[in-house]
Amino acid sequence: MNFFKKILKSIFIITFITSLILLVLFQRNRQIRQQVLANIPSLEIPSPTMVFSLPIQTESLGSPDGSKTLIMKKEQIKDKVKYTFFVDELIFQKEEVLQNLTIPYNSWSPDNKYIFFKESGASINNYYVFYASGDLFSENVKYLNIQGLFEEKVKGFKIEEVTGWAAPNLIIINTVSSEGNRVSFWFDVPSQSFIQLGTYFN
Amino acid sequence: MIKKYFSYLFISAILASFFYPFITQKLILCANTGNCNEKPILKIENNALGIFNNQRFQAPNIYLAENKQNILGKKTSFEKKTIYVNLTTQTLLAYEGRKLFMQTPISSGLWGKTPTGEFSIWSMFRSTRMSGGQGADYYNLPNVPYVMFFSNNEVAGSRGFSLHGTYWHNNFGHPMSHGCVNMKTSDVAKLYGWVANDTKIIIFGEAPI
Repeated sequence: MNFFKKILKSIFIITFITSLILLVLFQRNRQIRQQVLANIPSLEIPSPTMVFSLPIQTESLGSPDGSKTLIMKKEQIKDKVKYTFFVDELIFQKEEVLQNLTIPYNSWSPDNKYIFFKESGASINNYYVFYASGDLFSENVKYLNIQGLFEEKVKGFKIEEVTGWAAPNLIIINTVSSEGNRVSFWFDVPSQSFIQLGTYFN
Repeated sequence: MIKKYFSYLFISAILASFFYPFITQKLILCANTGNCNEKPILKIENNALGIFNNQRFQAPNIYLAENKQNILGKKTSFEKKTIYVNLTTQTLLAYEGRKLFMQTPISSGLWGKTPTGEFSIWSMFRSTRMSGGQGADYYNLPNVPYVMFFSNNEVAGSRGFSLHGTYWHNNFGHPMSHGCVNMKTSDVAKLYGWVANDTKIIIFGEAPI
């Protein structure tokens, strides 16, 4: 019995001292990290290049491999804003009142086949997917509205953000369920279907 | 009595030095389990298929004649070049002295943890193959472009961590890798041509996963 007591006491002392050493090491490591952080200027994610020349503003974004450029022209016409998108040629034109169309940083699909735009609204955001070539998805269907398709096909979830592409055909959609859980989906562009995921793509 | 406690202290120090690297790096093994401990080589496989996120797709072809080759060790810089990777903001900044050369979103580890610390680039390849994962997470990617392998005393080069281009996803600003630092190919191509043999990589912060 005495022997077990001695062993337990030894284990306790060793664990205690080990924890203390680890704590000191962690603290030292944190101080070094803080020193490193102090030397770095503020970090912000760059947005697509904007060239202002009112009343027309131009915004552009290169494809991931740098071989193509998506250009958005924004023109104020009275109370409306006219948006025009080009890659090699005109792919989309839209006039809006009090809406805001933008090119997200991850707009291009990895293979340069598709692009998506974000339309910020007061309560919900719309995301539109186009062929970068300007081709149609089917007769008279120039783009896919992710928000509209999601509302139609998936119940009990609300889109929070469309972040980018998980693969050449898969768009990542972050949602929140009616119970408040965060769940990611993939939107498979060719089949226009949504795939619920186990991993949340933060 | 003092001798006894000294032996406790000695055992504790050994245990702490053994567990510390494992706890801090949370058992980081290899960036690409399929290539773990393999010596990286220049590998160009044109017209090959890549697999990622259960999708098969054509990997982009690479023609060396179209690119200037940059060989590590042949370039010198007047001012110290440093690359900072902030895992918290998923951003990379490259500085030459105090001059900012590049600021761009990256994707760090989602399925595997990206190591933190100060690293040196030990090998660079215009292209190589990377593979790993299991089941739905399996990936096998030929022609991974502009690969810059980094290491330090705690993270050996054989574990395969690198900065490299990405043609299989476009979700920068969000964790999306198996431990490497994924970059937009057009950005990493510039960085590949910019780094010098004494360029340091400092990775810090916590990825939002």
